[in-house]
Order: sequence, then structure tokens, then C-alpha cells
Amino acid sequence: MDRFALEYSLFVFVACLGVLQIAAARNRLEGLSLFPRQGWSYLFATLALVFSFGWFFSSQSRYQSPLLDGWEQLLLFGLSSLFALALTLALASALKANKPATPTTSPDGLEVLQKLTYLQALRRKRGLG
Amino acid sequence: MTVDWAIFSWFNGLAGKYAFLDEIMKLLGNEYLLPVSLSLVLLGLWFSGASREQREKNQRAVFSTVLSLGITNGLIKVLHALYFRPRPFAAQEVNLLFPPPADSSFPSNLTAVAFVFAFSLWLSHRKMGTALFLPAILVAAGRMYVGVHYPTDVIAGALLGILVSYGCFRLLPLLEPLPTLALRWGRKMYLA
Repeated sequence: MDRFALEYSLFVFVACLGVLQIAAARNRLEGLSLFPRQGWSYLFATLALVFSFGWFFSSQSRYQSPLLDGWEQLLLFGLSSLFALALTLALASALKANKPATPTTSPDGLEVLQKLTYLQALRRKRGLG
Repeated sequence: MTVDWAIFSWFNGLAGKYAFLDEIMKLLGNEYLLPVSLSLVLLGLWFSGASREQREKNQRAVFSTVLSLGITNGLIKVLHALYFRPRPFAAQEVNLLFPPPADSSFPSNLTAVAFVFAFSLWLSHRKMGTALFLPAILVAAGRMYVGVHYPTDVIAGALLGILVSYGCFRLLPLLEPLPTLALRWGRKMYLA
């Protein structure tokens, strides 16, 4: 992967971490939230977005004509957002590992993450939780 | 002088007069700012919704938009391969604020992408979609301002984006049960 593609992926990855915290706070998704308070999630999201956009667009090379074409952008965005989601779910599960699982009646879907971490949800699915 | 060139000259003639406006237009006309920003909106939309039904509606809109983006990009690649239109700066001296792109001018890829986001979301979320038409129009104007596209390039890009978005919106139900199966799998994985 060339340097520009790597920088683009890093930019998208950090920005996605921020957006995921906004989504977690707005939709009360415990399993996606890295922080105990909504305010901290919004603060983290703001910092992640300001830092990632500020860093990426501060370089003049960003104005050179397409170093990545549309398909490459689409692919790298997809991969980076998946990595950001995986890291967020893993970190949230690790940070809340000692928190007891709250009972939920939802059998599946994102609403399960309003009560459980991703790891707790997977354990419940396998009958371990 | 053609109408195309006259309109281009009006927009491009503003470049270089106000440093602040130049910077804003360079940012708006940039290949990465708008696609990444609007993709982040899609990511947020995937997780949003007060109820399961609302969320499913949002997630189907995300499917439709991503499908439209893929098809639009493919079509533009084909169009660029079939027809090469030189950029405005190749014809006459212009105020060029970007390093000169080497690919075909027609149609404007970035404008098409901007209109795919705006129109795809407008079809299912009127308020959000309407709000996104403003950045889409600014991007189109920005591409002329910075000197890399003619008005007909951006108009063609916008029309292409709108047509493909509408087609994909209509096509998505015909792709059943694929979207439903994907959402069902996503729900099983607690991700939809």
C-alpha cells in the first residue's frame, strides 16, 4: 500500500472512531460506547474528527488530482470503517468486562448492544452468559 | 464564445480575488472532503433509528447509496475511457487552483458522487437529503471555480448521479431477498 493510501486509511479510521462514539451516545448503545458518560463520547468524537480532518487536509498534497480513484476510496473507506468498528466493539467489551450483563429481551439486532457489550452478546448467544 | 465557456469564465474569474474564498473552494472541490464526510454520515445513519423499523429504513438507504456510488463510479470509468474531453486549462489560460488533473473532464466524477449522496438520501430521508443538496451544489460550483471542470461536466455529473440513485432506489426491491438476508445476518451478528 502506498503512503497516500495509508494516510487516507488512517484518516478514515480515526474519523470513524469518532462517528461511532456519536452513534453510541445518540442511540444509547452501551456495547459500542467506550466511555461511561455521553458527554465524554461527544468530546472524544469532536477531538477525533477535528484531529483527523485537520491532519489530513493540512497537507497540500491532498489537492493533487485523484491519487485514489473512486473505487479505491470506496474500498479503503469500507475496510477502515470495519477496522474501526471491530476495534470499538473489542475495546468497549474489554473496558466493561467486569460490568454485570443487564438482562435484555431482544433476541438479536443492535438493540442488544443497548444492554450488553459485544462479547457479552456473543457469550449469551453461545449459552455461556 | 460558448455558453459553457462563458459560465465557466464567470465562476473561474472569481478565483484569486479573495484568498479566503479560494481556500474554501479548494477544500470543497477537493476529491476527498465531501466523499469522506458524507460516507461518515452514512456510517452514523446505519446505527441510528428510534425503532427497529426506522433503523431498517436507514440501513436500506445506506445499501441503496453504496450501490449507487459503485455503479456511478463504474459508469464514469467507462465514459472516461470512451470519451476524452480536455480540461478547461488545456483550451485557454484559466485561474487554476489545483495541480492539473490528467483525466477526462466529462463528466465530473466528484459532482456525480455528491449528487448520489444527496439524491439517494433524499429519496428516503427528505430533510437530510435536501440539506445535502447544498454541499453538492457547492462542490459543483467549486469544481468550476478552481478551474478543473466546465459547467456541462458538472451538470452531466449531477444528472448521472441523480439517475443512477433513482435507478438503484427502484432496483433495490428487485434485488430481494439479498438486502433482507444481509440485514438479517447483520442482526444476528448484533450489527444491524
